Formats: sequence, structure tokens, C-alpha cells
Amino acid sequence: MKTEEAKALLEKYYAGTSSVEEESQLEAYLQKPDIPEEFYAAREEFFYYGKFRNEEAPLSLETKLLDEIATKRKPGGKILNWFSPTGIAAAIAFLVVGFGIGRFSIEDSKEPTEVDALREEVAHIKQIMALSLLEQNSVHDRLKAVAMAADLDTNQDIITALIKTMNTDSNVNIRLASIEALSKFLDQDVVVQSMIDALAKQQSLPVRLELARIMIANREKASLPILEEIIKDGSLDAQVKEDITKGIQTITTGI
Amino acid sequence: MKRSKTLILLTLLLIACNMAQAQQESFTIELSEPGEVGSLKVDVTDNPIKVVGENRRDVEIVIIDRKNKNRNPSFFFDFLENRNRIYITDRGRAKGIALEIKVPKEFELGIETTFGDEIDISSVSGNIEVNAHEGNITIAGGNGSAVLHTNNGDINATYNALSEKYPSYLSSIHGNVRLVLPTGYGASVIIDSFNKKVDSDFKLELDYSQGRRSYDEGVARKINGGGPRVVLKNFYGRIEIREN
Repeated sequence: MKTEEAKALLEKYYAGTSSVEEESQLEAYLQKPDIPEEFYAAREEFFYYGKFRNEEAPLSLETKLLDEIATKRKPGGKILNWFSPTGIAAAIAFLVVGFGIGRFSIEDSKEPTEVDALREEVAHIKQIMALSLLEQNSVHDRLKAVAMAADLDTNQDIITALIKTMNTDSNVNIRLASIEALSKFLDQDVVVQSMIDALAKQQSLPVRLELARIMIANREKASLPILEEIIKDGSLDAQVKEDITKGIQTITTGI
Repeated sequence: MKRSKTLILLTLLLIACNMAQAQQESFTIELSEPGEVGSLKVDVTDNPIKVVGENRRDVEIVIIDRKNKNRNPSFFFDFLENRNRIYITDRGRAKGIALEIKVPKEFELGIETTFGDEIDISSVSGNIEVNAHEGNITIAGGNGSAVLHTNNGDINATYNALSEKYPSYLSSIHGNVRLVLPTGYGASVIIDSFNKKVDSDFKLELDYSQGRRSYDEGVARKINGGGPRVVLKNFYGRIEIREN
């Protein structure tokens, strides 16, 4: 990376707009021993915060965040008894007002409401939690993170983090879970390509099998050279070889 | 002739006695924060491992040389305790030596063995991670999250309760995956069987809340209204969900 590019990335990082991938690039750059002196302060600061990535988040953090979400969901927190006279009156009032709003604001229905904003905020908090948990040492935290990420809508940071997990996590179940989570985003070229790359590089049999299954089910022609290479492996289990061979035929014939 | 026969018999008897008396050594490791939940991490190449949860505040490690090769079994292992975290690693392949580890009932476990034929865990409440590669994994009286994988062995996990906080994930390539839960227990299960060999004592209802996968629809199920999330996955074996 050139100095100018690093500067631009650093600016994005400070502005809080950098993606996970960009931060990884920046991290790699700042780790180099021969960076210009003007980056020394940034390096110190970057790794000062970076070292906390390996610290386990206090167990209370998640509870606090979830409490905060719950509080925001229920402002006031007072429960109305719908069967009391006040409740019935309120229900009728809601119906009338609701009918009115529905009738006169259909054209404005695409405007973001407070509920939408709240939903977005909750999704954002979940995303932060998922990305943070993925960096944890505990396999249970990381599995939880993948499950959370799988429930989120398409998001580039989440996809990048899941691809990294699929390729590098030390636990085979977490790699499998991240593949399952990524399979929701097969409409994105970057996801399909990352799976094809992983199929070529991964040595773990279950991971390869899972990726091959997806490629076959998705009739992914670009994966054919890799699948053909895999079945040439003399040490491959006979049953696995047979299934992948059938899969190659399925992709080739499209049936 | 009669004398030589007696001598042979006596020799065989001595060998048999010697084999029966497997050499074993026992070590007790004090926890630096007794009474607090600790964890055990075992990373060895080729040893059957048994872990038992007991009412105790320390950890006992028993090393048993089943082959009795007149070797010092403890020579093959290193132990380390740091802030209630216990690490056991081997110094190379020590075939024929088994580990029996007694831990407090509430303990976290992380166990990995490359060629070990059996990992057997009982009466431990806490999250468990096991990667057996080739061997079988058996868990009895579990309570917590289970992240278990073996390439060629069977998984047989009997749980009193699964963790609400953390999902569980049980997978095998060629072996069977069997999860046993108490009668009436609710769980949200993703059943992913490549060859569709699934058997359940529980009624499996479709669970749309867990989403569907584009390449293999309809695998998310709930039992007894749903509950903690668990993935059961295998490629060439069977998946069973049994009532206890």
C-alpha cells in the first residue's frame, strides 16, 4: 500500500467510516517496520486499541446492551390493562386514529418511522456485537456471533467478517456455521468467489464437503475446475469422491 | 516336561498379572481461585480422555498406562494452571496412555485429540468444546453449550439442558450424531443430514423463525415449541434426537 492510500484509509478510520477489510489492510500496513515517521503516532494508537481485541468482553456487556435495547423498545414501561374502561377507550381511539393515518398517509408509507429507526439501531447494535464476538477467544462466543450474523440483513462488514471466519477460524464447526451463514448471500459475487477460493485452499474435509454441496446445489460452473481437482486426490474417501463426481455431472448437464 | 509346562504357565500368569496392573500416576492441581468456575483445555495426540464432574474444589489428573511398558506415564504430559485455567498438553504421541480427569461440577472444557479413540465426559455443567477427529465423543449429564466435532467417530450427547445463551453445534462426517434430551424439553434444532437419515422421538415442527437456507430448504425444526438453538449435522451417518 502506498503512503497516500494509507493516509486516506487512516482518515476513514478516524472518521469511523472504514470497513473491517480496510482496517485489516491498515493494520497490515502499520505493522511494517519501515513506515514513514508520520504514521508512528497512528500506529501506537491503532495497536493500543487493537490489543483489546483479544481481551474477553465482560459477561455483563451483553446483558447491558440487551437491557438497553429492551428499554428502548418499551419507553415508559407502564403496562396498560386493555380490559379496563381506559383500555377499551384507548383501543377504540387507536383504531380510529390508525384508520385515519392509514387512509391519509398511504403515500407516505415509505418514509422511515421511529420504529424503523429503532429497528435499524437494534440491527446496528447486533452487528457491533456480532463483529466483536467474532474476535473472541471462546469458541462459544464465536459460534454465537456467527448465529447472530446469520440473522442480520446483508451488510458488507458482516460478509467480510464471515468470509474471514470461514477461512481462518481454528474450529471446524465455526467454519461450517459461517459457510451456512454466508450461503444466505449467494446472490453476491464476492461470496460465491470467496467460497470457490476456500474450496481450493481449505484442507478440512467437512469444510470442503460443505462448500462442494453449495456449489453443486447452486450449479456453480466456476467451481468445476476445483471440484475436478479435488476428485483427483488419491486419499479422498471413496464415498465423497462418488458424490462430488455426481455433483460435477449435475453442474455440467444442469440437471 | 511337566516342570517346563508349569514354568510356562507361571510365566504367563505373571505376564497377565503385570498387564492387569496398569501403571498409573495421580496428580492433584489446586485452583488459584477455588470455588470460582474454571476451565480445562486438553490438547493431545493419541489418548483416550475421560472427564468427570465431582463435588470438589481442585482438579485431579490420573494418567494410566494401559500398555504398561515400564515407562513413566507422566513424562509424556505437561500441566499448567493459571487463574483457574488448566492446560494439559502432550510431548509427543503417547499411545496406550489414558487420561482420567476429575474436575469441579461447574467447569468449562475444551478437548482436542487427533487419534484418541474415545472422549468421555460426565456430570459436567458448563460449555464444552471437543474435537476428536477420529474418535467417539460421549457426554452424559451435560448442561450448557456443546460444540462437538469428529470426522469418523460417533457423537452421543445426553444433556439435561442446553445453554440458552450460546448455541450448540454437533457434527460428524461418517459417524452418527445422537442428542438425548429430557422428555418435554424445548429446543430449536437445525437438522442437516446429507443422506437424510434422521430419526427423532420428538415431534419435529417446521421452524420458520430460524430462516431457511437456499440450498437445502426446510431443515430448521423446533421441538416442544422451541428453545435453545442446536445444529445437528452429518454427511454420511445418522442423526438421532432421543428422549431421555
